[in-house]
Amino acid sequence: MLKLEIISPKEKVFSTEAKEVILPTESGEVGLLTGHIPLITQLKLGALKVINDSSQEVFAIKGGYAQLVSDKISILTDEAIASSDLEASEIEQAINNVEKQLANSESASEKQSLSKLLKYYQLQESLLAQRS
Amino acid sequence: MANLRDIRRRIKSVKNTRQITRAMQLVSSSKMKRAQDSAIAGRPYSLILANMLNTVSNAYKVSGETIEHPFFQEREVKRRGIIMLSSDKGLCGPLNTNLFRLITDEVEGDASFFSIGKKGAQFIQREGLDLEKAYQISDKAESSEVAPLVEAAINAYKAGKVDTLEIAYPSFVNVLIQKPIIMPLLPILDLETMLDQLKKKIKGDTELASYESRAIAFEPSPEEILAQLPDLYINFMIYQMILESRASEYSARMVAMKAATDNASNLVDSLTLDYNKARQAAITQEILEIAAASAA
Repeated sequence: MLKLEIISPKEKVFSTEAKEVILPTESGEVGLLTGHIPLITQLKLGALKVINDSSQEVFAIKGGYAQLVSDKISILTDEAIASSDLEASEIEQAINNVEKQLANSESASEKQSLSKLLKYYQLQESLLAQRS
Repeated sequence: MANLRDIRRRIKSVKNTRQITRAMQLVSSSKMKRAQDSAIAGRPYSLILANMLNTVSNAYKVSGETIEHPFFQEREVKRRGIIMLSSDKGLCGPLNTNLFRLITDEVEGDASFFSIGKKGAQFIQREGLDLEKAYQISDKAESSEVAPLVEAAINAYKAGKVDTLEIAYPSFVNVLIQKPIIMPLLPILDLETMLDQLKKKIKGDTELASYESRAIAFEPSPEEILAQLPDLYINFMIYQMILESRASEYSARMVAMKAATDNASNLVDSLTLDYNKARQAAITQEILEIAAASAA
């Protein structure tokens, strides 16, 4: 079994065991099984899948880095949320909020971080759609 | 003997002051708890981040290549860049004074300062030091508030305006002790020591796999990982230290306010004693007068 930890600057978001983990990396999706060689990889904003025999869990992660050493995966990300915790009304509100802020923002760096945030919420929206 | 009414008035005013200092003590102690918790919550992240960076740079060392990233290049130090973290408000004992003394003692030659906190900015201006820019952040210390400072400091380093980046702040030893230190951030020379310090702080809470000489795969490539990882690392370290300096500030204020409350209590006790003595003296005086009058 693989051990998985998802860590954000504010807290340890999640820790679990899994048979297979699929990471969204810059060069496409990477599936990890036990016995994989040590790996450090850059993640992009996307869906992280945790697969067990009978179940599958999906997390939305906002970019970051992952390291895998001796069957232990640590994910460093700005933010992450399990798709089972998503609420349609909250996401909709968040998207509206960010869109408003994006329309009002002027500095380039602010726009960049806001549009990343928007993508993060859109990803959540699509994960929610897949769930139901 | 002091006038009875005067003493009563003084007792009342000291009690009022005590009420205020006690309230401040309680507020600081709950804020300290929160600041400490958020500083501790960020530690696993910083440990793994530091470990990752160390691994990537070790991979370079093994293959004998030099790292091109500007954060790893040591330059001749003509001008130091110092980020100073101080408090916005006073009434926190010797916290800021100790930090300022350290700066006066340690920093010789040219240095540019980036300041967080009103007290630090005032100090820099008073001493005629070179203040690059002063920032203020709210009590919550969100990472979005800190971003402009970090960006400005890193840009100054990249542009060669400053040749080092150091951070001066009151580090949190325990509730009673806050030690001001100047910690070097850039260039990144000694990751191993940094990693050891972090591990000590966390005390085996997170187990870290050691890579040693085993082969590690980097996706997409070591170069690309190294392009952004150092920025993230420095960014996060600065943020962690800001949280820690917040915890220091609140605990210093809590201790100072506790001392003030205790002093006020002592003062009230001794004033009450004086008051009772004066009252007794007045009664004795009155009885004497009546007795003398009836005897006459």
